[in-house]
Amino acid sequence: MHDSGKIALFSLGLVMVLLSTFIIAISFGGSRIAFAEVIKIMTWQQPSSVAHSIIWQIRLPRVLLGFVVGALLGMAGAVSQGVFRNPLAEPGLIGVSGGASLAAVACIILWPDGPLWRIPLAAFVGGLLATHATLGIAKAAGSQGLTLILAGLAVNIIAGAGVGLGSYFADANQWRLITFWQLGSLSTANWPKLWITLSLLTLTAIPLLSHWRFLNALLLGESEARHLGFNVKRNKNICILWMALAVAAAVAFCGSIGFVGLIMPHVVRIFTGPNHKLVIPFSALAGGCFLVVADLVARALFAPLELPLGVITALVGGPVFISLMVRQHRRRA
Amino acid sequence: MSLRAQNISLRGKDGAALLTDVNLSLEPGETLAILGQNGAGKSTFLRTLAGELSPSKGEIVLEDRELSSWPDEHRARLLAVLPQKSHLNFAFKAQEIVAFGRYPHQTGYEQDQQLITQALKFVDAWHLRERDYSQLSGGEQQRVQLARVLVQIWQPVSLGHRYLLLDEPTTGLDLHHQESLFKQVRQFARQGIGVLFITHDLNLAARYADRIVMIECGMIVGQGKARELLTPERISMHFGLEVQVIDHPKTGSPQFLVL
Repeated sequence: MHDSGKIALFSLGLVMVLLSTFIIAISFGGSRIAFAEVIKIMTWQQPSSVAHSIIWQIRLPRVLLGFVVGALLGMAGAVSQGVFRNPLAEPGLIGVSGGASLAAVACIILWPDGPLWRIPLAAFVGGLLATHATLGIAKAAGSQGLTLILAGLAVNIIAGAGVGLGSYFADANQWRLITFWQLGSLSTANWPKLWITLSLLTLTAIPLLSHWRFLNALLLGESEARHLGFNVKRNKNICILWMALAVAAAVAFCGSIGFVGLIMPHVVRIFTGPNHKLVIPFSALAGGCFLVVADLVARALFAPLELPLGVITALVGGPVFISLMVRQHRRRA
Repeated sequence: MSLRAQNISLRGKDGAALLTDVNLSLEPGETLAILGQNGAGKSTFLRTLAGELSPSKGEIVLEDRELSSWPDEHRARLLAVLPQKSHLNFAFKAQEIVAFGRYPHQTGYEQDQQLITQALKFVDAWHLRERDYSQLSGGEQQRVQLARVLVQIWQPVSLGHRYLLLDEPTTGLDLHHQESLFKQVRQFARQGIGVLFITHDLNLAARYADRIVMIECGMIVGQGKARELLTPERISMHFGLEVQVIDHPKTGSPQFLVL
């Protein structure tokens, strides 16, 4: 079914999508830059023009940040679905992103002029706390299938209220930032943000990718994973910790961009099968590609007006979520 | 050297006694059957022996060392467990499931593939290797799972003897595969592996187990060889069945005819 030919074809497709949208996304914008010129500038053949600075200061960091954030979300989604053994357990749905957003917003309001890294740090703490709150509620409510999603919904409602409350006390500048948060956007991308996010991607990818055996074994069941020599509780906690950090890194500078972590692993499994050895890296790759495309659509659809990125991902993600929910129910019935 | 339950007791969350003063030793190379009625505590005992439940009293000892003090990965190289039913909704190929059994080992891809091939052929599931596991019949899934736990302890390891615990392994299997599963398991045990299995089938237990242990209300109520242990009186007392004992025409082991 999922042989190496299919996987190779999928990788090739992803790379081609990525390369072509990369060029289009860099050429497209308030001032159009011809493809030929883009390639010239990118290969250092035409230094220091207006186009040069537009590309290097604005568009390139944005496209790259989009890819990195998408990769973080795709990877976190794949791990989260595996750890919770629930195909709907997306970080956005189980409260991780909500908690991370709330903490990041609180950090912006309470500590407006701190160093840049304070935001991902706060988002990490908030995401982790929210995850534990969701798990605690789900456990108290019977932790069966959809309870986890409902618990996540509850945590998201509370976190959303917190963000709303924060915006009430914020000044005009902070208020704009918070609004942008709730919908998600790549428009404030710059190089320092890219470097922080990219290093967090590298940092979280290593431990998350290395847990593929555990996540496979866990699909059989907790006791089966235990009999295969895994300390289930410890491994789960490690995965949740790194997953929350990955989500925090994605949320910190771009706000909560929903559904990438939900959709990507499902798309990837069609091509690679359910083995986490492939699902995790390919979800990262596909998530990156998807977000670059989504950001291009957000910018191009009503240009020069720019739609919030979260609106685009939600437009795709909502229907996918519904179809997954129905499918999961049918499978049980 | 053995897998030993030393005087273990286990209480449930409501304080009810699930196991009481159970002493049992599973020796390398022997095949041991656990018999008992529904709710007698057979599965609870197996899960305690596997380290999944911790006894409130007494201890489980694997190769002269307390079970819980073994590092998880080392324990998994010696002790493989086949639970009653494993649900899996993801479309793994059968051979990928079997490959899970090699996770506790660092023997490398080439060797793992060889062992997986051997195990799949051993349980007569080689032809299923490329099939989607979730689309297999219950009996086929059970054979794939058996291959998975066999491949986990396929080769001798320096850490100690190997043990295999099977919880009602023939559930969902047709008669032909029930027989061949037990033949395979016993053949496997002859390489020096201690095998314990739970079953409801007196005839299978009598034919394939070297020793039989009867559990009732969380206590061992009798153990020994089939011929001495499974008398019509005991079967009537513990299982509420009137039987006649006849000799198996080929193996000579006692078989039970319900009257």
